Amino acid sequence: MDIAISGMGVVSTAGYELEDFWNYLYGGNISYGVVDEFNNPNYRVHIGAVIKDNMWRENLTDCENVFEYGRASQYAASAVLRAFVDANLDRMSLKDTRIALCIGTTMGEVDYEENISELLVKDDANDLPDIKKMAYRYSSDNIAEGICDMLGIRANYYMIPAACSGGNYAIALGEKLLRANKADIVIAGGVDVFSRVAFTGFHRLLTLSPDYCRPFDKKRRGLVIGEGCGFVVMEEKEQAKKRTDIHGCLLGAGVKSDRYHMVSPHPDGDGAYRAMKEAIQTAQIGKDDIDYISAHGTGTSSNDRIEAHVLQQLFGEENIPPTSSIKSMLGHSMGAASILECIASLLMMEKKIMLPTVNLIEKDECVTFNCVPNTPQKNKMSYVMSNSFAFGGQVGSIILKGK
Amino acid sequence: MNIEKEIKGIISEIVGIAEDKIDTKASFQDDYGLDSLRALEILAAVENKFGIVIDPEKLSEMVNVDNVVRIAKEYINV
Amino acid sequence: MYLNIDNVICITSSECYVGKEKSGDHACVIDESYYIYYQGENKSRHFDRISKILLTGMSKLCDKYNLNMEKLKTAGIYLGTQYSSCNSIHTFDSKALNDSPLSVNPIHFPDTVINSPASQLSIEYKMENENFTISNGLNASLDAIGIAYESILSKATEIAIAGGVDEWGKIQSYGTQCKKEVAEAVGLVLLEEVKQDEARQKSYIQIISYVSENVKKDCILSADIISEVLRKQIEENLKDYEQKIEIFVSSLLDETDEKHLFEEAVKKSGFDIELHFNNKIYFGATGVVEVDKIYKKSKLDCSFQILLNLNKSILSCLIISRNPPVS
Repeated sequence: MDIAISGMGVVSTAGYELEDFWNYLYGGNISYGVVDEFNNPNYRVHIGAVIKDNMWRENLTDCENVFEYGRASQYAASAVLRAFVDANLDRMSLKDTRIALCIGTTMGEVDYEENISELLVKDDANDLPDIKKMAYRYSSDNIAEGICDMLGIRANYYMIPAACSGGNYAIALGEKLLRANKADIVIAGGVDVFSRVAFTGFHRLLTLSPDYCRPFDKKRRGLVIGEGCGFVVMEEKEQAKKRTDIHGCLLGAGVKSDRYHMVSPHPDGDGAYRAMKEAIQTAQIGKDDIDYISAHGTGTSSNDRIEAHVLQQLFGEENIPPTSSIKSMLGHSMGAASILECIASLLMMEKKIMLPTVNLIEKDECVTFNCVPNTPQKNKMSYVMSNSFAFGGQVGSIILKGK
Repeated sequence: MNIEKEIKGIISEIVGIAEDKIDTKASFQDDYGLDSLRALEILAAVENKFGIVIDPEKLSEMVNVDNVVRIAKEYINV
Repeated sequence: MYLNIDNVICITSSECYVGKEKSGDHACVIDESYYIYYQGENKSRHFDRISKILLTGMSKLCDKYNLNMEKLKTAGIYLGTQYSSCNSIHTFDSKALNDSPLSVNPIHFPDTVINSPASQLSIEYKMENENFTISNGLNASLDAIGIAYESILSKATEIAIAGGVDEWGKIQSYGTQCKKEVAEAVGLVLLEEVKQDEARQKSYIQIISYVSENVKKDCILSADIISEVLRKQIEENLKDYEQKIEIFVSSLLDETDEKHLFEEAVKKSGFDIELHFNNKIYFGATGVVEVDKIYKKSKLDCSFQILLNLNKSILSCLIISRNPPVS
């Protein structure tokens, strides 16, 4: 079965229309800055990527029960609906279609947990009904349930928390379901909201950059926390083509465990190497066929160094394809990162342009490849690899083919 | 306040060894089996104890008790 | 279909532990003695409570069944959980709020990602294959077993560790609306392909089929759709064996509503099958607890068990058999 990607939808700090998303990133714009909530002496770093307005929610205006659900659920519903529209799917006429949602995340509806914690500090008995309501809607299945409820669709679902590899894991599970004939259409993606827990945690791990995310740069100082959501529509290619123009195809996915440490990558990048190898194998292409790699590229000292090392091991020092990281512009949107990178990769393939790694002043010595510094570059873009390496050693790699 | 004693107390708790049995030159990683997260835990605990902010670049030097004491003193005396 | 092939996918080992002592409000918790002495290979590694419970369950599974530790490294992990490390998230966040963001201990931060317990499992047991945490509410561990089964069928993995774990805590206590008895639990099973003869001889649980479907119609749970799921599953997998089937139902519905919905669904399916209703909820570990009970029963009334878990709109259905009749 050839699996096509027939629709895409984003809610991100670079916009929520695909064309705006593309133009923002093509222009090398950064979508992060000072976050007021963290601009105080309790934090040494104040930079993050936050979706500042609620305009993205406009496409949910005619939907039911939107405010019964948390922010992550609303991001997800908005992005799924955009993906539906992009795939030319009419959600009202899908009664006999077996739809499955596969959704990756790092912390789910953590917004609700944070609100509950604040109310518990306040210690006002009048807040109890709100606390109970938020606690009921906190468990992650509410995100998927919320999409079905808000959009009025009858879909099966799998919530797949896999930290920063959430999107790639969701795609991998979606591929399993399609090939096992458990679904006719899979909507796969990832979502995370900007959270105090994530910001405070990464801050305490000393992995936050105080200014810019500078993947592969000699003087890189860490990552920038972000948020967002993305979804793709996956289905059998011929079925999709009867209805719409496709964006490209998923050829293969490799998901593995580093089995080394909760936050540090394996020093040899063992899990990453195996995931990439498996993706290439299942895609049935040669590694020389790969035209571009969308890196995990968080901008931390250890990730970028080990990622560069693994690429050398896999491709040989002289043969690493051009590799860039759009986290330099979006920040790290956690569970949404790998799906936004997948979507950006498909857009890159359509336009035959590689998006840049911005903020690059001096390449690190360990980076022997073209990291597309600061400005986009034209390229033949038939096959793309997109990688993600997450907390807990969850590594994922997917291979995409242009249309 | 005896800085050495306070720091030894912090590390004793993290390493799980009695204060008087800690070798101040022993490597946290090689001799006590601590990983990078535990190293960060030591840095965070020392910062909170003395109300100081240690440069992240110093983390890689904080390999044993002696070094932690030396670095902490640099910041406490400021 | 199971009757015509030499190999079947079975649950060959099962370990489960549930909370027994009531804690203040209405949940039964797992006693400290179960997990307090758990120490990983590297004694200085930190584990939160839910990870300790899960790792203890895994170590008991390995010891009880003398599992091949080398082979285990290749197993896929499929862990169901409704709340996962919610307690750790809440503790971490409360510390940041009540004290200061700089007072948080960095070693507690990795506990706050929902995939943390499953990841701890993969690190401790050096399991290098795919690792899925499935956070599907009550259905989580049944879905985890189902996805593990599909993964072995599709050869994504040769063997699988599947199951579930869930803890009680503050947020859970505010958020639980279900009036049934609730308890903490951990359950893990090993799934692998074995020869049919061996499966029968050792009374392994054979997985017959797995499916999961949204059973709401116009925002209401539909007995019609549930009956269709049942009818299709039975016709495709258990035709002619109606007399030998029993159904086990777990849901968050009130007992009366639950009974009414499923009795109506069974009636509409056209089959006459005995229903058992589970009156105790183990959150995301509910499914694996049911599987373990069946695994450990000395005698089963029927040849086939259909396990139905209903979480909000989703009905998950796992059909198993410890001794399917020979044709």
